[in-house]
Amino acid sequence: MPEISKEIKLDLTDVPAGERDNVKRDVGDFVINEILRSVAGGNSPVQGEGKFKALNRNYAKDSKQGNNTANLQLTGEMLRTDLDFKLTPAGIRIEVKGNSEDRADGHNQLSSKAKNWANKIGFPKRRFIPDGRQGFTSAIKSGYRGIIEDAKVIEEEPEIEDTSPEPTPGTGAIPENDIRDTTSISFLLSDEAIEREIIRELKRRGR
Amino acid sequence: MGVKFSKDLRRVHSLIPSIKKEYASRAPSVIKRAIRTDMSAGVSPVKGKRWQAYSDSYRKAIASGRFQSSKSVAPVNLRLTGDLRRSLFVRVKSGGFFRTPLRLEIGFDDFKADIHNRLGASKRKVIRRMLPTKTGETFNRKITKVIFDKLKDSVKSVVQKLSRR
Repeated sequence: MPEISKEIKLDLTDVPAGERDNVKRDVGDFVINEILRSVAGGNSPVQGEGKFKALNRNYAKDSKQGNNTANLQLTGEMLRTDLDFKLTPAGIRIEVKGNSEDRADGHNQLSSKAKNWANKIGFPKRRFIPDGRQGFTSAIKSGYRGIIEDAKVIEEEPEIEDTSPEPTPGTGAIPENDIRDTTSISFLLSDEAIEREIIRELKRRGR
Repeated sequence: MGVKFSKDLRRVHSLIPSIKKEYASRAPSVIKRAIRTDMSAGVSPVKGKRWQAYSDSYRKAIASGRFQSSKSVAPVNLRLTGDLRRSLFVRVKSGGFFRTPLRLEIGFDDFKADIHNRLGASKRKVIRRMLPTKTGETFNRKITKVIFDKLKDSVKSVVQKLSRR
């Protein structure tokens, strides 16, 4: 069976040891989602591969309700069930396993067998797993680097000295009410988070 | 001459209501778009969750033209009539002047959302998570980033307006 996989090595040196596997899982989940996003739009998630060649009109009519965007999903099995990731000592490995390996090789043309077959019948390459020398697109790379950055231990930001004038007696802050809605999804974007962002923005502007 | 804010926390706090207002007017449409885009691509908005492929019988039913002609076999986008997608709402609740935390309410008004998200669809009771309603769940990285990037944008915009004064 051809091996349809790509290892992504991750530099997790500054990530606490207990968090590294979680970070790898987050990266794996992110990369899989990015592959699905790209492929659904008929684009390759692999650097330099660009847009997938559109489907043959007759094939699109017969099998894809006339939609000629190549999204590599006829049954969905290859991308929904068999595309997955696993953790490796150096990072993660994105791979296609199970029934779809041959099909995935036909699209990616990573093995010489698949390349020869594709050359013979003129089957277009639509790569969603990079080969040995390739990587994922820069947007995907910067996305997973961001996940690692967020997980790194950062030095505490210097404390901000509050130089605001003494509060006038009787004008204290109004207590916050907890108005969490239990029936809908809610996100709390705290005032502290906003405050941090304001300070960052002011610093950025040298104010 | 510009006003010095960097160490004046009271002045920093005074910007918060405007930022909340800005966020409330700008964020919902962008967040909604991000969730819909992911759903169209067959990506679960919930971190770590994958939507499984449609069953063979459902795929055959689609291919036979039993549903609207625009219904596609793949990607799995949970789109048949479009009612579910259209029922997505994103609301920003904020006390504004009062220091109530900024709060996002995201949900679907369509009953089918609960079937996909919690109860399970078809005889097989297939669950395809659309909203992180369980404890410990969050939106996927991309949507979370949109939610917080919009906050950063709102901060930038308010601070910029202030600098121009």
